[in-house]
Amino acid sequence: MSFIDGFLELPQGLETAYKKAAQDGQGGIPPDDIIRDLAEGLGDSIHDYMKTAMVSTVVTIAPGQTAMHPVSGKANYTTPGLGAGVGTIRFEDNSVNDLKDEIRIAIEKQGDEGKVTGCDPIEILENLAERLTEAIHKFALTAVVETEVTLAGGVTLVGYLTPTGAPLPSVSAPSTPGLATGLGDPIQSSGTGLS
Amino acid sequence: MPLEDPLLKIRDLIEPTTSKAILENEIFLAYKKSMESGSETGGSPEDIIINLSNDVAFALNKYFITADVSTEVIVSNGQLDAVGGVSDKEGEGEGEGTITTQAEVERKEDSEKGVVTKYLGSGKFEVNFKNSGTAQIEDSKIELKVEI
Repeated sequence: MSFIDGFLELPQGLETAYKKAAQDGQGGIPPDDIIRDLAEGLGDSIHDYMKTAMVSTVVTIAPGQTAMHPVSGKANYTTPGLGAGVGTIRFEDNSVNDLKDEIRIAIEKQGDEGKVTGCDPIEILENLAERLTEAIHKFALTAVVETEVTLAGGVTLVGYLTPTGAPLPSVSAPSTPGLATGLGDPIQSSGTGLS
Repeated sequence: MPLEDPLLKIRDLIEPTTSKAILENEIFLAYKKSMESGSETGGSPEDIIINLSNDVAFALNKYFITADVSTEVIVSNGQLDAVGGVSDKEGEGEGEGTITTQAEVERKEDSEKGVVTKYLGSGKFEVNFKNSGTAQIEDSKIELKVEI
């Protein structure tokens, strides 16, 4: 599923979860079960959306690789290699479960706060928004980013020798699919990204 | 009748600046709108849920597409070079990037491009098409395709 499909399905998933909670709330279903199902539905919708995201990266490879030639001997990669990564995002099962648990707790606390005499509805919603955001933010930062990297080639190799002993210059070729891969996560830095 | 709270006026003056703070503010506003709609006479529960779903979904998307990502990159042995040599030592590096934001959508019947602007409930979306303007799309899976 593409990221745009994931985005289009997000509000539909949320709608389904909210509607189920509203219908279940009309009687016969224990509140704890309604809250648990709502948290499950919201958590699944958020997970299903986020895992469709695609990422793109600009890649720099440090010098230090070596190469071997059957006649010309050994050479060193002496300049940085440049490339581009394209990839996906996934989440571990325990992260998804944590998200659902924290959503459930946020909704339960909203209910508890609403039972207090003289409670402030605005403050309750502020608290709910804060807890939901914290759960979503924590979950987003657990994303595992995996990329397939294509290297442009053109890195200068030094060290090959011709049969007469003269230096034989060379440059790296563009990489073949599957040769280079990236593994990472979202960055949390001040002022940019998921900050 | 809308709820009034002095703190809310102060809150409105403080512009959230980080993506997390913006998400929190937009989730708060979505639920507040939902609560206010629910207290209005004639507010349809279905419309309230649809609007809440729309607002939360757009807030989540706005937040998530700000993500920057970082990767550690490994280059396996076997990279070729111009004179026929083959790398025999792994390369290491790093990647810096972003989430690829959603491209425009395209209507299958006429290939006109547009941007999704609102969720209308039950699988319908409002799309602002470049030439023909705003239209309601019955089912995104059938009517919309991804523009790469």
